[in-house]
Amino acid sequence: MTDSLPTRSLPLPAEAPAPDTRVFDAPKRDRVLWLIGRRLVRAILVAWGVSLLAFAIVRIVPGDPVATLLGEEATPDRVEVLRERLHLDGSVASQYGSWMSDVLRGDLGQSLQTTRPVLETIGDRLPITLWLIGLGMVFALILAIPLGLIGGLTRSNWYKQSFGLGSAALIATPPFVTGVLLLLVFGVRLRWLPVAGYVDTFPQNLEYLLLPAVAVGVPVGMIFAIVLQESIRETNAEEFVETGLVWGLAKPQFVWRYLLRPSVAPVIGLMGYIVGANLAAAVVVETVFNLEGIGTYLVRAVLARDYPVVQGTLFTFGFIVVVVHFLSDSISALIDPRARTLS
Amino acid sequence: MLSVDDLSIGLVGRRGETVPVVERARLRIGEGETLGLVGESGSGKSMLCRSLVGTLYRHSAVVTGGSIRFEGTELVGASDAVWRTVRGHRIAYVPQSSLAGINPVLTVGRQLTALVRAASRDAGGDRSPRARVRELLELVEIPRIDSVMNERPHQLSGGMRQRVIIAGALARDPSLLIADEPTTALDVRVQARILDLLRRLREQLGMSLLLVSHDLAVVEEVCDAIVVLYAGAVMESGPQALVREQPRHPYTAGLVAAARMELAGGYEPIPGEAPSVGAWPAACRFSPRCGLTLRLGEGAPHSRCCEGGQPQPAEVDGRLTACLFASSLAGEGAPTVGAQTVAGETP
Ligand SMILES: Nc1ncnc2c1ncn2[C@@H]1O[C@H](COP(=O)(O)OP(=O)(O)O)[C@@H](O)[C@H]1O
Ligand SMILES: [Mg+2]
Repeated sequence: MTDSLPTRSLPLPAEAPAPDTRVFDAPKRDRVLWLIGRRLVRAILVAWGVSLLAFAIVRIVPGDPVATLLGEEATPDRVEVLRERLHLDGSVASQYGSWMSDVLRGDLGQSLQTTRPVLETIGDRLPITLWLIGLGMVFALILAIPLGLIGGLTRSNWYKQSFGLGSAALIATPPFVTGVLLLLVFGVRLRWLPVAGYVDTFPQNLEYLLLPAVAVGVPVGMIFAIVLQESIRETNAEEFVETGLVWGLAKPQFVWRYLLRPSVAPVIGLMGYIVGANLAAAVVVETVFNLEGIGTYLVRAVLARDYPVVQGTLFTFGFIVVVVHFLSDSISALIDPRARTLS
Repeated sequence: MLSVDDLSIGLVGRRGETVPVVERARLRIGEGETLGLVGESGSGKSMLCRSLVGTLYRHSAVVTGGSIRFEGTELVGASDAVWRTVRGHRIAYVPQSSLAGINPVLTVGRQLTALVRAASRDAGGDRSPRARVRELLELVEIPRIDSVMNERPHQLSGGMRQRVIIAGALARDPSLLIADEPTTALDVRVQARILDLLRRLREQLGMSLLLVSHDLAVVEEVCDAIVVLYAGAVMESGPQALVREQPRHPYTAGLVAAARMELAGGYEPIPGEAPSVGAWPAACRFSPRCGLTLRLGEGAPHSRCCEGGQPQPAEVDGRLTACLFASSLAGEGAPTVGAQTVAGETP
């Protein structure tokens, strides 16, 4: 048995082979643009839905704003006049139509209490709220990145158990409880930070925003940490991590490019969903810390049945959520080809 | 340059106990030589490779015994500092999956530039990283280099990805390249080109090559010597042509016969299945499937095969064979050994 085993005939084309650059299942850049376009259309539809909801909510809650405004002894005539002025006469559809056409022209109406244009007040107060949720997000990420890395790479069951318990507790704690606790400890007891108030200039405002932002950011950070550690665990099991490891890159570069970068898309995608919860937390936390953001504006308006304000602020909230959602979706598709599926 | 002796690798279980995946493996690679590591999937080839680049810990496995000597350095139990100078620098590794083996979120250019920067920093060189990346991509025969550099891996074909990974492995001028099943996920046409490339690179760069495959045909194209692994143990090892043409281990004979059948258009693998990790027989690992021992023992593995566990390789006819009856194969036509039939002679 010495005749050689014939070599497997590996069919090589006789002529110059076509370069092996076959492209398959490749969402190219135009595919990404198309995807982002679809998401934009969806965002616009959702924004429209939000306007419907905002409009409907103030009409579903009991209590007639006109009666509240004019008091018990109003004559029917005066009620009629006011109704007309407030566009509260006519069918619901025509009411919505006139409100919508105002909104599209950038007019959210006037406050019933102060007669100040709602958009103007929102313009004044929105920066505080945006600072609060923005800083809250930053805190959330500062918490989530190290926790996600540790949780994603550790094999210690002890760590996993304690993180599971701790994060569940922190997520379950309402932001106003965290807020009050922080206030008591750092504001009242230690007197490190102010208990209320606000200054409008950049580095100084951080002093007032620090505690509220922590209150908003901690539960969100825990949710991010859970998602990130799961994502990092999956990434770490991938073979390309081994490739990067064997390539012998510098540690920070390896951690960022081979562990974090491929794992952040789900977290960025999640931001779009979380920002709504963040706004809700901001409303409560603003009240606890006496911050004059749109949260406190909304709360006061609800109590006073100031329906143009309620309607306008809710719409603004919804609009913010839609914009952030659109951005986070698009960004995660841009930075990670694997996130390019239409959801 | 590389001598692996009595190397055992164990999977670490929940309670810290280890289950062997590779046992007392022995292999040798000389300067500029190509060694083929063959075995069915699950036989421990990838684990063996990972032990050579110190990444077993990522797969919850550890070296439980033996030695790996590489260019005069003992790698078993080596410190992180030693591994940092060996892994990727002297021993490069191309992992098994070309699809999952490359970072999906970065462009090829960015990945390789980062690597080349790290490499030139380590080597104290001052070359332009971009020029070096181009050079590497040219070395692995990538066409349209500029556009490939701006693409992300999912935009490339499997063959292209494999070339990019090989380019990365070459960035630090390694003296040993380990390619774990470099052709498995590719179609035949692309397979042949990748093998050609590896062969050329080995000659051009004077590297040694450890080529892993479950396919005997792939190994025989490129290799000087082969090691046949079965259920974590080396069955036979020696010069490639010798082992392939005159197998002295029934398992090798079975593989050769199966490859022969496949060439003739048939399909007749060795009957039975390889035992999974943790379920290895106490006898010779191959005995439950071995036609020779079943014939000698009249239906059951021969008593000699059941004594003393897995036989250790011993020199027979110019190669090492882990079979107690190796010499009795010498007189017979290899492919008739075992439950195999000779190609063309249908039962
Ligand atoms: N991460 C892991 N955890 C547990 N078992 C593993 C792991 N990786 C591989 N194994 C087991 O180790 C054995 C050897 O695997 P491997 O070295 O990948 O085989 P091959 O490369 O020859 O196909 C297999 O039986 C497989 O089930
Ligand atoms: Mg393998």
